[in-house]
Amino acid sequence: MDDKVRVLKLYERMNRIKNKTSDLIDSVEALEESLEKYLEINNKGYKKSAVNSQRNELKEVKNSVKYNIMSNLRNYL
Amino acid sequence: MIEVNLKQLREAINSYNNVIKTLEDNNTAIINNFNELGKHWQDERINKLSASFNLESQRALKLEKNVKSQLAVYREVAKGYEAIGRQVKCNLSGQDIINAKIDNIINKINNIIARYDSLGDISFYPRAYLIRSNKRKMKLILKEFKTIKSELNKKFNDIREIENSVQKKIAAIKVEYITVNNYEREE
Repeated sequence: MDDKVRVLKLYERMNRIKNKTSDLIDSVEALEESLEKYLEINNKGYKKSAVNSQRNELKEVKNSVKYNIMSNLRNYL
Repeated sequence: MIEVNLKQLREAINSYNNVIKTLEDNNTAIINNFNELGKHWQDERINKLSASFNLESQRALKLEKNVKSQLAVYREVAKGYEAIGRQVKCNLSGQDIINAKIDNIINKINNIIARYDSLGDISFYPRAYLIRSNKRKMKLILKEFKTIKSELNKKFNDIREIENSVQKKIAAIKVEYITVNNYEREE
């Protein structure tokens, strides 16, 4: 397979992964809101900080895909 | 919505407990003093007084017993919530909603991991190590969400258990209404 074709294919797949990760981050945000609404212990949503920390991890993964991988892949096209 | 403020609840329990102790002491004192009165005045009319007193003292002792059983319920609530937190606000119906949201997140993470798996041979790409690292991170995030789900369910179940146990105790308390007519009939 031609290198450029392989790179393009990988780029498209990474783009889909990035979009899926963005959608996942939205779902995690919605969960955080529900935690505050349905279970609050000592004035904060129970496990909200743990969920928030995972949301930050996901943002890092998404940014890595977008800026470190996809931007770099574009250089090969 | 369940709302518990443990500090204030404990203070109210202590205060109520003191009032009950006073009630208990007063009831004991009233019974002793009435018995003492009977020793110093004997008359055939004393029978009516004694009958009336017996009825009133039974009422007082019943009140004492009832308020003690109510206090026991509040004590159980406080004891149960000690392990949960100082302040708790909970809507138990939220457990299913939260579970559905976490299941949705878990499914989405699994879907993303499957997409990483289906990338095939990426060794041609110099930054393939970054892709592998991101996949590992997604797996760790998945594990974390499974733990969060389990801990959330445990907390909801603990609260549900306290509430069910208290509900059983409340159901066992008999509520009796004394009407003015009944009271007059007894006289």
